[in-house]
Amino acid sequence: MACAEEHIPIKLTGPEQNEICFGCHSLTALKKRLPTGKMVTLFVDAKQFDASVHSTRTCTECHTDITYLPHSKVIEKVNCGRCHYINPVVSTAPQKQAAQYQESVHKAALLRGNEKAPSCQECHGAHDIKAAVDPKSRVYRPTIPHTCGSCHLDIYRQYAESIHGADLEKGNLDVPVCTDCHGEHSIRSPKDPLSSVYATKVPETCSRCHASERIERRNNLAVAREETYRESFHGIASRYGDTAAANCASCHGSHDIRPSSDPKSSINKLNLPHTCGKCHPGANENFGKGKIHVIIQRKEQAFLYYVSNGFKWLTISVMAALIGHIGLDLLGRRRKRRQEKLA
Amino acid sequence: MSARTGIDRLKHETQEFERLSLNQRIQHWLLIFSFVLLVVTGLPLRYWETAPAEKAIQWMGGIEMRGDLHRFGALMLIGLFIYHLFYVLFAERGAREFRGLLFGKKDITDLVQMLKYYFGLAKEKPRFGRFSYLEKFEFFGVGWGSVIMIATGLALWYKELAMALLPKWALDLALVMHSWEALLAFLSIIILHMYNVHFNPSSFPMSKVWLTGRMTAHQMKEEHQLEYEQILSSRS
Repeated sequence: MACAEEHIPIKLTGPEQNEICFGCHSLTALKKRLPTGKMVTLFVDAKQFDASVHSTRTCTECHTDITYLPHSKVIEKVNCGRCHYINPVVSTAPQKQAAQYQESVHKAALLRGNEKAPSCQECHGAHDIKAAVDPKSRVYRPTIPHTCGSCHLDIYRQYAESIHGADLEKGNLDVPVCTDCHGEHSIRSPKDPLSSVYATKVPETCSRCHASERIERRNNLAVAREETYRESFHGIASRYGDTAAANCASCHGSHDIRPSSDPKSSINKLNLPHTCGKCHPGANENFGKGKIHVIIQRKEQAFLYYVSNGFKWLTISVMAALIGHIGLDLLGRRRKRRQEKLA
Repeated sequence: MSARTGIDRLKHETQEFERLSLNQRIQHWLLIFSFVLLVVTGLPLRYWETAPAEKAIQWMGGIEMRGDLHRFGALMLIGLFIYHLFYVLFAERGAREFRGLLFGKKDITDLVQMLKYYFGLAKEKPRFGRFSYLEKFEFFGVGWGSVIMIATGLALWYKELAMALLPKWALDLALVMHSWEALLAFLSIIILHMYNVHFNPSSFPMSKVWLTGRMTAHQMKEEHQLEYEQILSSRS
């Protein structure tokens, strides 16, 4: 190119600069070999860029270390926080999310030196960022598993075969995608007590859908899941902070949730001894004889309901009899005292 | 007996009769301790979502500690139960008094007369022997309750062992029984037993029998007149 041959630096300013950058970067053949040996493309799709939310921005607004041409062969990774966190210059800049990201497990990994850890670009894209509600966006809800799956491959495979992933394929948007359970920018390790998938937080997270009457009805889900869990030994222990107590994921799995009719499901009757056996050594098929989510108050539980009710009325009648006896005794004593006074 | 002078009567009225031996009192103190421990650690589990239960569990040192304390109380109760079983079978006094606690026709006639008295249809309260029908009711209430609580409690504690033999629904049943029987026992004690020994006007504020083991002649005449007469006639 003429500029490079003459070695006269061209200052990149003004909105017309994009055309200059695209002069090279619209070439599909433009590539670079990294020190690791890996080849990366330097092609930027101008059509995508024009369709993105940053179409009115100039290249150097993000690539701030480039001020003139020719530019250095090694450039810094763009820091989105410049506009979206540190000095928010645009009113639409999502500050809250950026602040949340600072506390996230991804940021922590990045700080530890894990180069594969994502910051903004890995999930949102670089030159093709679209609003989350745009079906073409990388963070459009149904696309999210695919986006997260580009790093979390095994989990994505499990999820795709699970009831949630399979239903998502069918177009059911009631199912959770990764961000619904893990958060979007505030993703924390499951071992972090502030994580939405921390052992004692899991029931709350699953209940966002599985205690929602609307979602239950629309998807024909089993009812009273949270209620029955909360009443159980596991639920009470979990509520009081016991992280060893079973939560929803302990039995149902997290990414490989399948209905009990599925032979691969952790809650299929034949698999229950193995699932329960993770915490209860020696679990056999007796563990599956009887409902797991027990609703005492409802007549479906049959004999449990009647025994419970029977005890309730026994208690009430015995107490009524005892209190009656006591009351009569007191009255009797009062009457005797009065008689003695008169005598 | 000839008429008594004032001082003689005082001496006579305050003469004491042994009601509970030291052995029996110790059994009872241990029962109080274990029962209170079991109730305090047990009821918060039944009423887990209430604020008092939250505070109680926190005060106890958390949910796991609650469980450990409860099991300790259970072991105490089981030990007491077994000891008492031996006491009733093989100790002379235990066997004799146990026989006296068995229900009989007199208890029915006593109850009928008591109700008649309460409603003004009889002039006198029934004359009780060593154990009134209410005391017999309490005794077998504790016995029966303990059997249920220990059996269901052990099944719930050793759940893997229990479910090696029983279906899961049997343990659900055990839990229902354990939880309700606990409430029944707790209410019986704080309502009936506390009335009998604390809050009834003759005993108020507290009958001392559980501490000293002795009853005055006045108490005997009030609560166990038949036994009192039998003792006097056997002495003369």
